[in-house]
Amino acid sequence: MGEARAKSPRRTAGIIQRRNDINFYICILPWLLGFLGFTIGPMLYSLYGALSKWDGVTAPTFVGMNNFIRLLTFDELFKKSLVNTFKYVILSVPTSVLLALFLAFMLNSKHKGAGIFQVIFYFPSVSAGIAVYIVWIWLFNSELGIFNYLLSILGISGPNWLGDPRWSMPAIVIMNLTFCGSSMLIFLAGLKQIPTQYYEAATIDGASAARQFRSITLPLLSPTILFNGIMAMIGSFQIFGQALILTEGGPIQSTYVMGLFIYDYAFLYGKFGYSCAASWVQFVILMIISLFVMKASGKHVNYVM
Amino acid sequence: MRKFVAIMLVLIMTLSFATMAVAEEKVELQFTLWGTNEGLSSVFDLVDQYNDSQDAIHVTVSGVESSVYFQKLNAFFSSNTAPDIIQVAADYGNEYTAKGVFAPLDDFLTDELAGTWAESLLDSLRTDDVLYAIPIGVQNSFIAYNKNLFDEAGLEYPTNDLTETELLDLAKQLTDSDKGQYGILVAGNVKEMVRDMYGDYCYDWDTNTMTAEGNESFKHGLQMFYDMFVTDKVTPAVMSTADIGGGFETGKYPMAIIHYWDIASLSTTIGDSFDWDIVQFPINEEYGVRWTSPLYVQALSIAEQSEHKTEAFEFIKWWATQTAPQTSMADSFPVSIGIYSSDEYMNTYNEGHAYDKQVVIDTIEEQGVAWWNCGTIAEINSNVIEPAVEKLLLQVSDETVDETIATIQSKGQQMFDMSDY
Repeated sequence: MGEARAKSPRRTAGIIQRRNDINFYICILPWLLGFLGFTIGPMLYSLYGALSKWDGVTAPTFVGMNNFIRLLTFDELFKKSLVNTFKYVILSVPTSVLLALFLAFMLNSKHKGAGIFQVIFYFPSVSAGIAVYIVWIWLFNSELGIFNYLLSILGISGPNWLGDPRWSMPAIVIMNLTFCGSSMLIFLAGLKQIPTQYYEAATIDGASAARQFRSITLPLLSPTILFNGIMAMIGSFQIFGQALILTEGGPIQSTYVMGLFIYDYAFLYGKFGYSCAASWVQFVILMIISLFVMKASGKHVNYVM
Repeated sequence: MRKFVAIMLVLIMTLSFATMAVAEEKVELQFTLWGTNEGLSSVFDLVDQYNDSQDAIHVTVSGVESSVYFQKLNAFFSSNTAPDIIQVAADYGNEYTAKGVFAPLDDFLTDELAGTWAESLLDSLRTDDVLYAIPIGVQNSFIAYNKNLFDEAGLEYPTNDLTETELLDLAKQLTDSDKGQYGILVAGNVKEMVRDMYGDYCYDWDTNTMTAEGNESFKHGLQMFYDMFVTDKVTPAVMSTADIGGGFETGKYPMAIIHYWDIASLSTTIGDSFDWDIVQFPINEEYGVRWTSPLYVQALSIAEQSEHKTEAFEFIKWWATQTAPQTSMADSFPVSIGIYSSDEYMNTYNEGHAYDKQVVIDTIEEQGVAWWNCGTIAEINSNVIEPAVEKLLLQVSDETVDETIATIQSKGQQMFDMSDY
């Protein structure tokens, strides 16, 4: 009788599993509700908005693919903002990732004061973005800025960084380097995870520092490089504040990026539906590129330590 | 004991209901505006004063950071939760009026009350001849001049009778390339000014038509700025003073186009380093008119859905006729004729620089024009006119004035024609 009442091990395991499942869903429920309510919900509504004529005040009217057709066939400004955004991504992602890697590599060595430099390099990442941008406006000032002063010492007449369409985008890319502190810290954590025995063995085998970097550091750091690269790419595609504060998209729309396009069309021109469509185009582009990068980098990324 | 507690509870409840009943007698109005912390703080104080003086109306004010004001307005209107009284600016109020979210105010405006404000101010707040807001503050543009640099050059100070030719001559005389001195600072102002220099806009927003081509005064204005920027180089070829280490306050420019909102900061920055004053824009001899000045009017509207429009207008009337000048809201110039023409106001500078206030008044009354910067008009301003003008004046290509006008005409008209999306 007692044996009959006893639960079988499989049944017990099933109960525990079910209880764990319930606990799991209870624990993630607050986040899940927030995610559904504040992320998926607005995304779906914006998809409906993208398929509608919508001024943000009155109710949307369904117009099918009209907004997407106009965006992708007629709108020259959208194309310009897309090209400018790509320019920014292409210039800013490699430079910021390489600088972060370089700084992390330098700070990984056991020098006195390395901790202080970590704080200094990370500081702009925790500072208010707007304040940092305004400081950079002064650094780039063509008459009083430090860059043109330093160039003048070398006998070079510096450009009008933010007022010249040829220099405005490079100026924003240079400014972006200030914010490589977060990537640097992640790289630093990645570097510290690499076992020192590998380097000791390589040194005994006579491998040079460059060879050690190429054959040990880079392969073992590749997941971190991929992560930082994708995060930098997503962040760069979403550029908005930098262009708004430093140049307002100018001069001659040379820094007019998709973030500004989406903002202007929604809040300045009252074309919310059109703005939603532009957001979805940006989202799809970003998703395709991220998937492509992850797929293409698959055989180059080493997840085994 | 129980009896005592029960009696006390009944008494408390009765008193509470009585208090609520008294409170309910007051009409509750919601009022939303934008502003800085400092400006909003003075507004809150004034609204408290208003509430203390009222038996029938209670106003609850909420301030919004100006950078997110558009978002807030859209959220209000799309969710039908708009406050009764809403601050707006003349450049975008019309766009919301077209969507029917603001109540027409003409019925509230008696002849006597209308005389409180300059006609140009009320005109800037009308859409299809319907008044949608009451002005509470205004900003406009004029020329500031550096008396020290004029003295050094041995030239007479400019006056309000200055003609356009005389202004350009002065600018040339005061330009000294050896010293790196330009005669006048125009910078980004050109992008807004050029749209309507002589009272003849390069577009007609009522008929959705571009009028840039064949518009002689528009071409004249553009050509004049081209000469100033490119041919005669009497002004630095930049669109932002931030690119050249500052503007008029640096003391490097004998003349500069400035706005009313610049005056407070100029007073503080310049201090005693040099003497300066302001003068009206010049008169064009050919057209017999002064350069126009866009009126940056701040105003109060009433939401169409408000159930207390009469009370809301009472508050607006109080605010616009008596209160606004006392606030530091965006440092606007007062709009009530009675206030700005009083000796007390004309001779008070709050420890700032004493400038010719009559210039501001004359500019509002004589040459102030409405301007729009929302919806399709904003698209044309930002995406057609501004880049075309920048391209011409910064000499990025060899485009001529005529080609620039043709670009503005065709691209602008294309936007008007395809604006229904």
